[in-house]
Amino acid sequence: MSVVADDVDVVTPAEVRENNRTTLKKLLLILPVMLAFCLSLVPLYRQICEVLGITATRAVAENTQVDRSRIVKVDFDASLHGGFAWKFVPVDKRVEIHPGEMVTIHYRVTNALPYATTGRAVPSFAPVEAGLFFSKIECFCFSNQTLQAGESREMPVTFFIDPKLPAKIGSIGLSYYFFDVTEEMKKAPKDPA
Amino acid sequence: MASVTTHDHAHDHGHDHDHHGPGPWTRIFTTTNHKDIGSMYLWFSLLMFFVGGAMALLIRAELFTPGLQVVQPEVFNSLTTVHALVMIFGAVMPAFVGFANWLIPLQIGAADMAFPRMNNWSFWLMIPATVLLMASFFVPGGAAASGWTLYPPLSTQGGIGVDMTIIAIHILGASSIMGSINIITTILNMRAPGMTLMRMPMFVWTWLITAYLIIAVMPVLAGCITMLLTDRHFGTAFFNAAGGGDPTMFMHIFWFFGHPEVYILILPAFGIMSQIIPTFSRKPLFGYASMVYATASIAILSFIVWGHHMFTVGMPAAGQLFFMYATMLIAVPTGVKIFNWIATMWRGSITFETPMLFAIGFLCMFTLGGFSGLVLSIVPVDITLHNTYYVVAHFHYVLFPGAIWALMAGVYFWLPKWTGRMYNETLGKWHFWLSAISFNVTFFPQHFLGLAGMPRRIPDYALQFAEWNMISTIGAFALGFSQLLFVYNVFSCIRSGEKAKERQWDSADSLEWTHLPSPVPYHTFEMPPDLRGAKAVH
Ligand code: HEM
Ligand SMILES: [Cu+2]
Repeated sequence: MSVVADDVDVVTPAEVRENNRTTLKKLLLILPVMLAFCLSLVPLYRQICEVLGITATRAVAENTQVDRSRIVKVDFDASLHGGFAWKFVPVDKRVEIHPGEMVTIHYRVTNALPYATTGRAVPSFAPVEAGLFFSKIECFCFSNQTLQAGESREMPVTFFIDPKLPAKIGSIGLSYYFFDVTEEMKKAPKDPA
Repeated sequence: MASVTTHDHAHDHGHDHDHHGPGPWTRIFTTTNHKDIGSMYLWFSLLMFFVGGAMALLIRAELFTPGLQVVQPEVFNSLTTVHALVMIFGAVMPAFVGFANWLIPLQIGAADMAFPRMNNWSFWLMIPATVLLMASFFVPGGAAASGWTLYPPLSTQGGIGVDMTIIAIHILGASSIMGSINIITTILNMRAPGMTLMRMPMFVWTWLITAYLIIAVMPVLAGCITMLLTDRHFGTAFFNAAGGGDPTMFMHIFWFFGHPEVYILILPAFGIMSQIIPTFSRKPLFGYASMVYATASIAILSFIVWGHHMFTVGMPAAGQLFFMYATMLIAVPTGVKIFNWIATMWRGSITFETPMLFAIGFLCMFTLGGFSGLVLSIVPVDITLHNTYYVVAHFHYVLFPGAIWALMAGVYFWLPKWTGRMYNETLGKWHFWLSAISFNVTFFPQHFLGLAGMPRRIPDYALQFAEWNMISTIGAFALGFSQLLFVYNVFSCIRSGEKAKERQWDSADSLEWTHLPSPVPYHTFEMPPDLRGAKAVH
C-alpha cells in the first residue's frame, strides 16, 4: 500500500471532543447488548437441547408400562468403610419384581457412637451394566446423613427397573458403601448440594 | 522503503516543560498523560509477570519428582488457577494496553488518548483487583482451585476465595473495557490529517480489532461469572445440577468468551511483529492489506470455534465436525500472516539485533504452537489429548514465545525511543538465547508427556513420567531466572544506556521514528502533523 491518500480532513479540537463523545456512546451501547446476549444464551441453550433432543444432562425418570412377563431378583447389600462405627443393614434383603414396577425398600442405620457423626453412601451395582437400567426416585445416597449419638434411622430407597433391561440380566445386586465424612464436613461447612 | 517528507519537530522540542509540577507520587495518581500511563501499565505488568512466574516455578518445583513435596494438592490447584489468571489478566493484557497507550497516539499523530481521565482510571482499577486476587490465597478455603476456566461444580463450591476471584475478574474486565473504548475512540477520531485507516501502522490496526474483541466478549465473561456468583449465594441454578442447572452450559458461555480471549492475547503481538520484521529486513511489510484482512478474519472466526475446548464434554457429532472445521479454518488467515512475515524477510538485508532475534523466535515457536493447535483441533485426536500436558505445551508455545516474546521484542525495539537510551545489545542477545533454549527445554518435553497420557492440573504423577518432568522443571527454572537479565537490561538502559539516535533503527518508518526525537518529549503532536500527500508509512 503506497497510495497517496488525502481524505482525512483537519478537524478542530472541539469537533474532536464532540466526535469522541459520539463514539463513546456508540461503544457503550455494545456492552448491554453483549450482556443481554450472554443472558439469552441460558434459555437459548435449553431450547437448543430440547429441539435436538439432547436430554442426557437432565435424566428424565419415566415409569412406562410394567413388563409382567419378566421377574427380576434384586439383592440388597450394605457395608461400611474402614472402621466406621455405624450399624448398617438392609431391612429388606431381597425383592422379586417386574421391570417397570415401582418399589420401596428400606435400610436401617444406627450411630453406635456417643457423638454425632456424618456419613455419605456410595451405591454400586452388580453387574455394573445394570446400573444403567436402575432408576432411583428416592435414595439416601444423594446427600450426607448426620446421626446424633445413638440415633437409629430407617431410610427408604424407591426405584424401578427399566423394562429395557437386557434379557440376560436376571438378578441385580445393589450395594451401598457408607463413608465417614464427619471430618470433611468440619473443614467445609457448606454443603454444596 | 517508504519515506516521510516532513521533519519538523522544532515544535515538539519546545514543549518539554510543564510536567515538573506535582511531585512524582502525586503524578502517578493523577497523571492523564498517555506516556505516563503507558509506562505505569508496563511496570505493573512486569511485576505481575514475575508474580505469576514465581507461582509457575512453585508448580514446576512440585512436579520435579513424583509424589508430594512442596505444596499440598489444594494449594497446587490454586497455584495453577491463579498463575493463569495473573499471567492473562495481570501481565499480558496490561502490557499490551501499555504499548497501546505509548504508541497509538504517537503512531497516528495524536496528542494523547481520547479520554485521558478514563485512561488513568482504567489503570488504577487493576490495583484493587490484583490485591483481591492475591489476597484470596490467605482466606479460609484458599484461592480458587478450579483452574482459570472456573468450571462448576468446583467453582460453585469452594470458599470466599472464589468470590474474591470473581470480583477481581469483574474489575479487571471493566478496566480492559475502558482501555478498549479509549483505544477505539482514539484511533477512529484522532488520526492526523492524511493518516487514513489503510495507512495506519499494523500495530494500530491489530489493536483496533483487538479492542473490538474485548468490548464484545468481556460483557459475556461478566455475565457468566455473575451467574456463577448468584448460583453460589442467591439460590439460582444456572449451572448447579442439583437445582436443574447445567454445568455444560457454563463451558459454552465461558468459551464463547475464552476463545476470542486467546486472540486478544495474540493479535497485538502480531502488530508488534509486523513492525519489527520489516524494520530489520529493510523492506516494507509484505501484503499490508492482506495483513489487515487476515487479522479481521481471525477476529471474526474466533467467535465460532469455542466448541474445540469441549469436544470431550458431550456434543452431537455434527457439532464436533462444525467446530473442528471452523477451527482449522482459522489456521488459514493465521498462515497468511506467517507467510507474509516470511515474504517480508525474503531477500531482505536482515540484521539480527535483539528485537529481530525475538521476532524470529516468535515466528518459529508460534508456528509450532499453531501446529499443535491444529493437531488438537482434530476431534478423535483431541479426545485422547484433551486435559493432558499436550494442551499445556500447545498454549505455552503460542503464549510465551507468542505474546511474551512479542512484548519483549517490542520493549527492546521501542526502549531507545521511549528513554532516549540504548539497551545493552550483548545482554539482550544473551537474554534471547537463554530464553529460547530454556523455553524449549521446559515445554517441548510436555508434548511427550501429554502424548503418553499425563493429565494436567495434578500435583503428582505416575513414575514413567518422571524423567521428562525433571527436565521440564530444570528448563523452567533456567527460563525464569533468564528473565532477570531483561529486568537488569531495562534498568541499566534507563540509568546509563548510551544515547540513542532519533531514528535508532534506520528503516523504522512509523511517525514516532520519523517525526519525533529520542526520548520522545512529554507532549507530542499538540499540533497534528500534516501527512496529506506524504507516502504511506508502513
Ligand atoms: C492455529 C491456531 C490454533 C488452533 C488450531 C488452536 C486449537 C486449540 C484447541 C483445539 C484447543 C483445545 C485443546 C483441549 O483442551 O483439548 C486449544 C487450547 C488452547 N489454546 Fe489454542 N489453538 C490455536 C491458537 C492459539 C493461540 C494463538 C492461543 C493464544 C495466544 C491459544 C491458546 C490456547 C489456550 C490458552 C488453550 C487452553 C485453554 C485451557 O483449556 O485452559 N491457541 N487450542
Ligand atoms: Cu480456543
